[in-house]
Amino acid sequence: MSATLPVQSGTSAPAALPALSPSPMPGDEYEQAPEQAANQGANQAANRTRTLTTAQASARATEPAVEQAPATPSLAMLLTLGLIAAISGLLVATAYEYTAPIIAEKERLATEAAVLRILPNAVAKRDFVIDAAGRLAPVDPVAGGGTGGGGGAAAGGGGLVYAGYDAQGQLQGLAFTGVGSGYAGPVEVLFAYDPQRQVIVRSKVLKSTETPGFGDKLDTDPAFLKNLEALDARLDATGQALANPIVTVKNGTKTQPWQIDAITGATLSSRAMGKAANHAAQRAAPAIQRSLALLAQPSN
Amino acid sequence: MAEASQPAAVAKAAADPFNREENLTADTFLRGLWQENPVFVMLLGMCPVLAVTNSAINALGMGLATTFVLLGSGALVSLLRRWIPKQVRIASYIVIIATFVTVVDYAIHAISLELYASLGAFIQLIVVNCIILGRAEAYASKQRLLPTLVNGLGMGLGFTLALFSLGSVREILGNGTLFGVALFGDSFQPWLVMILPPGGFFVLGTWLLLFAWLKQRRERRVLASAGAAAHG
Repeated sequence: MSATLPVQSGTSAPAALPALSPSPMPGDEYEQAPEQAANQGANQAANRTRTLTTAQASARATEPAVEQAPATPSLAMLLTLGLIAAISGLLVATAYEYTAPIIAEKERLATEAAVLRILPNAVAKRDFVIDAAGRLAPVDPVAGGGTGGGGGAAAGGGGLVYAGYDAQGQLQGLAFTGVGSGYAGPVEVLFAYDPQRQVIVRSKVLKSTETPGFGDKLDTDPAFLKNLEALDARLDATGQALANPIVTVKNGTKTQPWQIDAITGATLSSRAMGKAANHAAQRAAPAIQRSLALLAQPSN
Repeated sequence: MAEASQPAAVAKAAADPFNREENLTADTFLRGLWQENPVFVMLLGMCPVLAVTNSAINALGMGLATTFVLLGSGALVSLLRRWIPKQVRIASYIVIIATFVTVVDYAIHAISLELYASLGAFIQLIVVNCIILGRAEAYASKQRLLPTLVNGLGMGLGFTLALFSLGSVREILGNGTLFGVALFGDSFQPWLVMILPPGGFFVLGTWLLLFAWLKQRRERRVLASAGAAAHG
């Protein structure tokens, strides 16, 4: 090879050195083999030597191929990977910049539509946060609109309480979100709450990563949705927590108004719904009951 | 080494990677749809095939997202094929594929929150779909841009078609609906197992049976006609 390509003779000599250096290593192991034979039995050692010889043979077979291929300088590899990473970063950043406002706006609209849908008689809504004293405090609608994306994120963390009003400005009900961990991740649900009867009257799943075709049932299964038409969320005597925590029970064993009958085949998702309802009601119901006077004031 | 020292062999070996460029024919496109259908013939990408085909719309969304990733990554791999060193090609392909998966993830999120919610994590998992890496390694890295795009489109649509064949059957049997529209009266008792994971295996198995039977029948006919020609 060095005769036919004299230019490469300089490069092939250092290439030959690393090619030589591995050969002592298998040799060492080869010498160890008899010791191991004494320890572990002749069969194993025979296997080992056989694999070693094949390894040496294949190493010899690949040697010419390695020498033949022009060595790619590391710099070229680094440059290529760097360039590809840069293109990739640019594409992802562009896509994110372009879609982020659309996604935020869609999620805000979806939340608003969900609130108005879950409170059927409502035509307008006001947003409230639960303050440190455990009472509702109105959110400035301008600021709320300005931080649409942030508001959505806050709702995910369980912040906002939405109050729906009809055309005459009468309170039609309240909506709040709750999160429960399900089969594949957190399930975020919006609940409608009737402050007079102290019951959860409707539900709508906002976000879930449950198995497609199963998690959907939390929103579509008519028998399951019946559970959430009058789900008891009464406060106990102190007004700090629910009198009876909301729980999900095995399918067909619901006996109390604060229990949820699980869907067969989607028990974990049903439990997530129960956890979400309990979490949401424990958080929001006491604050709502304390702030009924504020809520009763017509909007505007 | 002896062969390599002959100049002709060296030239041939050097030209080899670009020697296999194929011309653009109808077959470039149709292969992915039928002959080399990624699901029914090559049995690749079984994870999304079984996981998200419980409704027709999920199957269609997944198929089209995969097609987009196939096209985007194929185009970039094909354009960069002369610059990507052999040693780092897989890393490069993975980064390129992951890029397009992220883009399609954002796009689906912006287009439809419902679809995004129901496809869940399976959009991100397109990264590890072996059809895409397989196409990048076996086709895009050796071919010019146009055949790559056409072949990628064929493969993507073949994948979409296969997902849809599974998704529509499973939705009809398991839920009594197609694209969410109820097909039967209230008396229809959904065959629930069909939208559960086992249903994916049942329906896939049935489709594979059908394809194997068609292939066998064609081979038998060819044999019969050859035999008839020999005797006649």
